[in-house]
Amino acid sequence: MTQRDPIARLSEWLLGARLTDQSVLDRIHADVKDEIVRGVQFALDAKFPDVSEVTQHVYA
Amino acid sequence: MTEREITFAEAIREALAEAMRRDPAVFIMGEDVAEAGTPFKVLSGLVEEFGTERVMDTPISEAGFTGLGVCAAMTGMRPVVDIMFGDFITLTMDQMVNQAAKVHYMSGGKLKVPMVMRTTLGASRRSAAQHSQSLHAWFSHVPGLKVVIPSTPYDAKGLLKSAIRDDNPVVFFEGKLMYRLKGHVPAGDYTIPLGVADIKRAGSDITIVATSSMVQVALGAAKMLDAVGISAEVIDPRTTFPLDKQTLIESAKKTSRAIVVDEGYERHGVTAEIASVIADGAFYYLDAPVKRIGAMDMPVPFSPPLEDATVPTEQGVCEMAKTLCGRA
Repeated sequence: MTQRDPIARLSEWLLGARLTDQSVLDRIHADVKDEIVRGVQFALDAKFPDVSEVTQHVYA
Repeated sequence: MTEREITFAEAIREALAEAMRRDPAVFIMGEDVAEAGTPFKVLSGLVEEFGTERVMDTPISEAGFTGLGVCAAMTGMRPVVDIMFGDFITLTMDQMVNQAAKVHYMSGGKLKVPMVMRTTLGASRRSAAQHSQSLHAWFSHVPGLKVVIPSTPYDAKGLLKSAIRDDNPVVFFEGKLMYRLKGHVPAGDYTIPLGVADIKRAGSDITIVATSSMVQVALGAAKMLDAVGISAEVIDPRTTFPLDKQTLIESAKKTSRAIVVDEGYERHGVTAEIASVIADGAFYYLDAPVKRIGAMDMPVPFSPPLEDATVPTEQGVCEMAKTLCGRA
């Protein structure tokens, strides 16, 4: 994360304004990271779609 | 002496370097064109030779820097505007369609827009629906624009130099998967005129008209057809406008059958226009309806097996040719 990263800047601002504390931010980071890791693993474990699915979802 | 072989990307880079050495009015601008040399490394080394005043990185604003290009062209420069992915031409449409294509006409011939827009087409890179389209038909539809769709390093170099020397706005589409394709390119100066088709392979039983990325597919299909005794002629129009109708019609008259293969969406696409030209011009010589194969009328999927199902294949072209020749 860089100095201009909006997530880092918002975290800093929230802490500075005493709207939250570091433990809450740490929990949010852990939750998000966990969700991403599980999502990636789900995708890697999934079978490739069947070619018959190729025309799905173009029109509602 | 052995023939010099270079890649499609190197041919593009050579054409740009030669054009910039020849004419100080030629310059390049676009996203990541300087130090980065574009994501496909096509422009690597150009900024070192020509500096950042002639190889200019722009902000991520296709509409903005395409407009700059149109105005620079109107005031005497010869800009080469780089649009990283062909999908992003959507952002340039007003500048290209309502301004660049109309300025010469609406100024009564007093102004001109000698500008080249380089961009890409083609799927099969697992780049998903917003980075995989082949939208060259869109610009081909607009009077005032010329559209180049080269298929070999030799053609790419000769056509790009002609495009830069042309006094009209020219859109130049490069197949992303072709950048590493190698081919013979002479070291000396040469150009290829816009609007002249090329016979990539001579044959007598069926004409396969193929564009850009699909020329390799057509040549592969022709080889498969050869094995079953069908002689296929492969014609590459090289530009969708101007379109060399005569060469397409003459080939179809000779073979009596034609398939048109292009990587754009099939419906309302380049294949429809070319098939219509052939059906009209060779009507009394045809033994079968003119058939078309384009990309499936679907957003290009990310998923590898799905993406592969949407793009024309050698096998698909071969099967259709066999059907037309009564050999299926």
